[in-house]
Amino acid sequence: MRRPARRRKGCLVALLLLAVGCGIQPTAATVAGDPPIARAKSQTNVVYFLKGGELVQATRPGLPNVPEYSMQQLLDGPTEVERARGLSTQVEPNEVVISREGDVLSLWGKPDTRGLALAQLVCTGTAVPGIRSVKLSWDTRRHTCAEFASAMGK
Amino acid sequence: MIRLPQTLASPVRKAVTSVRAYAPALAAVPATLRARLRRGTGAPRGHDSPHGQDSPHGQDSPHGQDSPQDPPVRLPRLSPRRVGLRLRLITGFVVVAVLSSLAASVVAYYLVQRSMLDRTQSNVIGEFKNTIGRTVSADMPKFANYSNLSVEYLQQLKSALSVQGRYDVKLAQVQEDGIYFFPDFDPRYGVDIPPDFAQMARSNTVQRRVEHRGAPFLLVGAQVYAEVPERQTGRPTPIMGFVIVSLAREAEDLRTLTQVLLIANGVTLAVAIVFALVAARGVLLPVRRLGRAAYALGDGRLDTRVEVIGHDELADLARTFNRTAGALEGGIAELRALEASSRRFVADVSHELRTPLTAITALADTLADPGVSAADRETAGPLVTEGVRRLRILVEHLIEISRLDSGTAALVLEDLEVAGAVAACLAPRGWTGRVEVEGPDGLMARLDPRRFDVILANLVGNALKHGAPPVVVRFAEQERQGVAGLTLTVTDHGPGIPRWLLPLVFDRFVKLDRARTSSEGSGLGLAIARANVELHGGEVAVLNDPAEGAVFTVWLPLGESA
Repeated sequence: MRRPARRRKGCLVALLLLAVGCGIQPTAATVAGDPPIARAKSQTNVVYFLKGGELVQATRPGLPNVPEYSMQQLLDGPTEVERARGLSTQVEPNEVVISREGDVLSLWGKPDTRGLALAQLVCTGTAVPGIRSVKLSWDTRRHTCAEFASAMGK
Repeated sequence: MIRLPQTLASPVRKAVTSVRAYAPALAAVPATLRARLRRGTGAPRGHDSPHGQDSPHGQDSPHGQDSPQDPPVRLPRLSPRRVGLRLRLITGFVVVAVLSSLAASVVAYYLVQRSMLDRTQSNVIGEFKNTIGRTVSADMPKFANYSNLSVEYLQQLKSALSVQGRYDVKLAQVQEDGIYFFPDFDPRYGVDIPPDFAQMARSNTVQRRVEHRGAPFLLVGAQVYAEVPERQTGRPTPIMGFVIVSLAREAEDLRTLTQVLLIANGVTLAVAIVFALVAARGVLLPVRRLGRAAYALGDGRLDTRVEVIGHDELADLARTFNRTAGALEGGIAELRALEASSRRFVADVSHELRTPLTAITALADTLADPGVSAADRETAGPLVTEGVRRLRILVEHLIEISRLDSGTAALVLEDLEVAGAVAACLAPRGWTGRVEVEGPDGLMARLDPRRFDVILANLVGNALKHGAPPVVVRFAEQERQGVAGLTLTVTDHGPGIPRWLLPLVFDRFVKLDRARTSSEGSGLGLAIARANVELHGGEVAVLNDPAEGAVFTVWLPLGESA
């Protein structure tokens, strides 16, 4: 009687091993190498802020493949470093949706257009590669930065 | 005309004592053998034990007693023991085959599983690192709020990482106070990234397998770093990416593999059973044949033999069986011949005893008759005496030969001077003048003097009785097969021994002329002479010399002279 019992036990062990190893079992988190290295080229965005009532350019790192992101950076306002340099903005951080149709950039929502804010928006928009004019969604008029040449700083 | 080899002397003596006692012993042999063969063990038990008492149920066990009147037990075709042997063979075969097949399957399964998962994981990780590196720039700005532009970028990144929508992607931004996941509007699997996993992903590319609703998933995640030329470690960008890869296809492949392996194991099992059946058949067929043969042998068919096939152990067994059966058959045949010869011997002895007794009885009747004349009585008296003397000689010879048969006869060796011993044999019997003796004086031999005397007296007496004078006794030293010995010939000048009688002349109760029985010797003289020669380790032979007559030649080893 001992031999069959041992045999049965051996079979059970084999089946158990098979069952445990079957399928794909969860694992703990393991390190799978170094972190990825960012290699994408991003163009430099040009954003127009104000300094002493004049339009001045500031450069910002852009997002790869989203050149219009400079508009968002304008809406976000100058960084602390830029503020320390004396840069300011008249563009209120209102909700604005930016869309692109050919070489025209359209601003939707409620962009602030009082005073030099429009100049900031238009100049920043036309600084985007491939964009020649900026239009407000409710207006048919297309603005270019040349309109605001008088406000442009040195 | 009975010929008994010396080696079978003991059974013969028993047979002389009581031939009847022999018959049951002979009859018992096949049954005993049968019982022994059937049981396959040592001593036959069935015939010794009282009838039925060794069985607790008061019944004979099937293999127990087998008296001749019982119908022979059929060899059962499917006795439990035979099924057991086949079952054991098959089980062993199948267990070994299936175990090795299973072991191979398990190893194969593990190897395939590991390499498959390793390959999938390294592919996913490589693709992930490559893609996210291509899409994120080193000077990536932080997202302060989510405009449609940032959403557009994140969508681009997501679609690049998801490899045509095959993977679920989650993106996060690292800020001063923790990791913030961008809202995910179309989660495919609903698998969440565990916080500790996300935390680990800040310093390395990490991976983890999880199970979600019974399905396996692979998580890979990392924070993107920017290379800083002058430093070993890079500068972290705020972007973290995670991909969630369903391993359903791999799991499905593994399930298929399991099924295939199970099918293969099933096939192995079937093949193993077939092979085991063939192997069991190869072993069991000869065993069954041997069993049948042993049964037939036990039934008394002693000429049963089995065919020896191959050169394996079973062939050896078959050969052994054949040899055993042959020896048994020979032994039984010898015993039967012995029985027959002892019956004849007893008949001969009775006959030999009756002849002189009849004569003595008739003569005694004559003497007892008052009407018989004195002259007749004088004639009858010596005849009675002669008859009694012959009867005594016959009985003495019988006793002598029976002693020789029983093996109790012992040699009493002494150093003899052969010429003197021959003279001492001839002189008392009054043969000195009738027999010529030729031989060297002073030849010494170590012999039993009484038996030497018996040998010589019987040979010379035989020559004087049946041959014609002159009877010549010659002796000389002669070496046979490197042993020093003494050759002694007794030659007569009679007509010689008839050709048909030559091979029988030393047998018991062999007489030239049956009709002359009553007037001649016991018929045992030459048999006794030969038995005594053989007791010395010598040889005796007879031939007809055409120039002379019968020549009896005795060769005796000289023995170690003292």
